[in-house]
Amino acid sequence: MLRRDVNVFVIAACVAFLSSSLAGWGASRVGSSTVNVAMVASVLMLVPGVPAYNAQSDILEGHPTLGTARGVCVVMLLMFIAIGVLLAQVLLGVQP
Amino acid sequence: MMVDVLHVLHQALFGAVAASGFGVLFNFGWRDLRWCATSGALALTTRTIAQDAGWSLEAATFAAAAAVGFGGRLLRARLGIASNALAVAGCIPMVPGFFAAQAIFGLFALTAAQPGNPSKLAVSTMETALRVIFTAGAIGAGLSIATHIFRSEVHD
Repeated sequence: MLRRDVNVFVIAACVAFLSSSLAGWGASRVGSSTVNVAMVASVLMLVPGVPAYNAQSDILEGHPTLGTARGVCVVMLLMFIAIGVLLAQVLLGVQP
Repeated sequence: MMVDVLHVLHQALFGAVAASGFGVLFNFGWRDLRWCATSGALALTTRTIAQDAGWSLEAATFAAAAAVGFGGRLLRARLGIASNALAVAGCIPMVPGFFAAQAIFGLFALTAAQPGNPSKLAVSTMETALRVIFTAGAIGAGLSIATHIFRSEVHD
């Protein structure tokens, strides 16, 4: 998807949807009582930890505009990941 | 203070595994991956010991990030320019991704057509969101403090 120049936020939502659907389906198949946790755990790799640190680091080093922009990107990415997981939860009928 | 050694070792092991995984994701070389694992293990060990001592998650995370930051700086001669990146990779497993997801799900649930017990939901969502902000801030502050203290020593 990156090679096809698809928007990174859309990619995050699609990947989150796919991985949490797989995790939720697998967890349901083995009779897990924490399907919700499995679905969230599957997208933890997508959480933008380095950009979140870079945003703070930029503000500390005297570049508040750049830091704020990075921070907004982090929040947007988290929002799209959550939308992907939420869609998977709705599809699988899992209570968030 | 009683420290459950088995629990600390468990956390350190999985901190090391998670940090190595993030090291692979960030394209670190094979030689640097063991340092990624070491910094992840140090971070999770410090955080677990601090939490066992009764510290809050945010304070324990701050202590762990500061420990990893100072550790990276002390080993700078050996690790070279990558020491800061290795410290960051070690702290990434402490980013509260699960709480962040819970906070956003809480916001979605709060704006649903008929939220069940909205005031309770609002309080729990706010609590989770604040926890995410403070923990992420603690990681940034802990890592930056080490960087800036050592940097000012070099320049002065």
